[in-house]
Parts: sequence; C-alpha cells; structure tokens
Amino acid sequence: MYKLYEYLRDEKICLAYLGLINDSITDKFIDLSEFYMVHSTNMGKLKNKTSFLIAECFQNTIRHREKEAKVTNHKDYFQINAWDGGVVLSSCNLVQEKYVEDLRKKIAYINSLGAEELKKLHDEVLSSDGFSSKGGAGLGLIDMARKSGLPLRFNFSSVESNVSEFFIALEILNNTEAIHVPKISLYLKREIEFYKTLVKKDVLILYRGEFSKETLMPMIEMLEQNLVSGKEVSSNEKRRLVTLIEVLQNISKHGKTLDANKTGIFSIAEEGDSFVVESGNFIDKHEQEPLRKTLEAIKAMSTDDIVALYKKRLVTPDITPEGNSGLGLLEIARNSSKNFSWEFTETPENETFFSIKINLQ
Amino acid sequence: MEPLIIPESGECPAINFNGATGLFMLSGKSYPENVNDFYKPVFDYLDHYKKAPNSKTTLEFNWLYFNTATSKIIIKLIMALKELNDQGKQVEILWKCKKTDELMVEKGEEIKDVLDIDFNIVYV
Repeated sequence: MYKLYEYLRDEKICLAYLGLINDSITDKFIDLSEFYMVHSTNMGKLKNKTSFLIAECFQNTIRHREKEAKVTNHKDYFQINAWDGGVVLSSCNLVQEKYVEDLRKKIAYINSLGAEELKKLHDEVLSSDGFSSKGGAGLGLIDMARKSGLPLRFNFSSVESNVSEFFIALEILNNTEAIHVPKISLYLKREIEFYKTLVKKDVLILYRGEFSKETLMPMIEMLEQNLVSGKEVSSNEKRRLVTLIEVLQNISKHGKTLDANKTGIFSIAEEGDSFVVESGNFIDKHEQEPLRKTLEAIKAMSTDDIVALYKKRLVTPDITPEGNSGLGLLEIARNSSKNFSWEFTETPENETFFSIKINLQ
Repeated sequence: MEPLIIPESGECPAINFNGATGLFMLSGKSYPENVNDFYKPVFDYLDHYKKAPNSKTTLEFNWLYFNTATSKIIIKLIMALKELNDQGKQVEILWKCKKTDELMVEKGEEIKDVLDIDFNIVYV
C-alpha cells in the first residue's frame, strides 16, 4: 500500500469510485469535498463551485452512460483529486460508438468558446433544446465548461465494435495557488492508466487523504450502499461492514499525525464472492514492535482463543478517553477468519508506514 | 423525570430512555468516532435515574450493528444498572434481534456470558 500512497503523495485527497452510481453517492462525494475545502487554507472559495461540478459530472454520467452494453474490463468511474490550489474531477462511462464523433465535435466546439459565447450557447440550448442529443453535450457539458472556466479534457477509447469508453476531466483552480496541480493534459493520460489498473484489480473504492470523522462518514455510507444487496442487511454483510468500520476507525484513532494531518490510504476490491480490503497509515516508530507482536500473537491463536480473549477484553480494561476499546484487531481477525497480512515500511523520511490486507468472505 | 430522546443519525443510534416508566431503549447503528462523547448524556441520565429508580428497570437493545467501542459501552450500561439489581431492584436486559441474524445473536450471547445478570435474547 505504501507504493500506492507514495504514487498519490501530492494529492490532498484522491477518491476513486467504481461502485454503484446514484444521487446518494453524489451527496457523499460532495460531503467529502466540502470537508476538504472548508479545512484547507486556500480552497474555501472553490467549495460551492466544486460541489456544483461534482453534481453535474455525476448527473452527466448517470444520464448519458450506455447501460445496456456488457463490456468486460469496464466500470463506470468517478474520481476527485485535490491538491493545494486546485481540484480535478474526472469520470468514465460507456457511450455508443455512433455518438462519439458528434460528442467529440461538440466538446471541441464548447472548448473553443469564450465565457460570453458559452453563456449565449447555454441560453440558446435552454430555450430551444436543439443542441442536446442522446450522445450528450447538452446543458451539462456547457455548464461544466462555464463553471470550470477552463477547457474540458476528454478521451475516447474504443472497447468493443460499437462501444467506447468516454473519459472526461475538468479543473477547478485557485489561480494564484495552483502551482501544485499537474498539467491536466498529462493528468488525463495518467488518469486513464490509473483507471485501467483499478478496473483490473476490481477495485470498488480507493481513498487517499485525511482520516477523520468527517471524511469517514461519507466513506462508510458509500460502503453501506455498495455492500448491502437487499432491503435488509444480512448477517454476513453486517460482519463485513463492522470490519470495514474498525479498519477505517483504526486509522483515524491510531494513525500518526504528520504535518497536522492524519493521512492514510484505503481500498476495497471485489474478488469473486469476497472482498479484499487494504489500508495503510503512518504510526509512531515505537508502536511498530508492540503492534507486530500483537498481530503475530492473534494470527497464532485459535478462533476459540480469539473469542475468549475478546470476551475477557469486553469487561476489562476500560475504554480510553479517546474511545479506544482494544478490541478492533480481534474483531478484524474474527470476521476475516484470520485471513489477514501486514507489512511495516520504513520511509525515506524515517517514518514507519503500516499496511494491512484483509480478505472478507 | 423527563425522557431522554436522541434521534438516530448517521453513525449514532436512536435512544429513548424513559425514567418515568423505567424503559430504556437503544436501536439502530452505533459507531461514533468517540463513544465516550456520544454516550455521556446517556450515562448522566442513568446516574440521575439511579437516585430514585423504579422497582423494575428494562434496558432494551435492538441493534442493526455496532463497532467494538460500542460493545464496551453496552457492558458499561448494563453494569450501571446492575448496581440497582444489587440493591434489590428488578433489572431486565432485553437483546432483540432476528434469529437469522447470526452476528447479533453471537454478540448478545457473548455479552450474556461475561455478565451475571438477567439477560434475555429475544427473537423478533
């Protein structure tokens, strides 16, 4: 996990989402983005614009994606990346090949227009309905270009004879502070490669960023939406959710604060009928040995012994002032049938990075 | 005594503690980031109630799911009422769950095992 964490090290937040797409998920993205914007020193003024564009991007994907085509190695995808000074939103969905050329021309046309001309086009489309088609490039794309104030970046990648993957990325920049944001033309290329890796690994959600109550809540709600199949939560689904909550809260409670942030990384991927959960975070150097010994001891225990220790700890010792129970790793071990592994990485900055990988049936 | 009512929200359960009737109910999900902060008003309410308790007190749980820190809160709540039991008052713990909900049955049985109190798992 450390390699992936490092790969994304410049991002303040990276949330890649390849799960179920609906309006409720849009709201969770907005919650997460607004938390970051409000708590970032120089991004507050971009908050409303970013929220608007997240909603617009999702709407665009929901309305215009090709839902009928069954394409292997494709998942509808949405991602937000935030740096000091800027945000990039990107998405990928399928479109029918017959709309590609039309869509390409329309985006190129939108990109060629200045602010005044975009406003004029917007008003024309609003009054006539003439520009919109099943291929997209209606009001949504015009609004995205207007709000962003920068050209929309896009790419089509043919995946089957009659279907293409449509990537689109847009920037929201704080012009005076945007020096950390990579050039978007390079970004889109990197993004497509990144997306392909995530699809190959069957990733549902990947998050790299701050781990706090405010960022975990939207994440947990996204997980609930994706892991619960029916109206009622089954016992096995509960077991998975409880484990995921422990993993995420372990980072927010035990992760080391560096540069005033408790950052970490988390991903969940499908593997047949089960899930692979991976997370990583910094820990205090002196915590490595005790943690390693605890993990080794739990791994060596029989399930009965784990349950016995769990019960013993239920009654003693008490919860710490920070709300820690000492039961989290035992719960993870029980719910994964001890199917977990871990790694400690010494970073070039002489910090200790702890990664854990858990298989959940 | 006025009831303590906290509506369910996100990671926090619905709480309905009625000191007048002696029926205290918790239901839904519980995984607050810091359980101590969330449950403080609940323990404050119980402390107040214990000064003039009813002859019978019922603590009823009906969970969807909860984190490990909440497990300890559940134990603390039961222990707080056990003091009344030790003083000769009747205290009943009801753990409501579906028979098919293996996880919640298991959690209930484990708590029952570690405590010496009238603890009933009720299938609903």
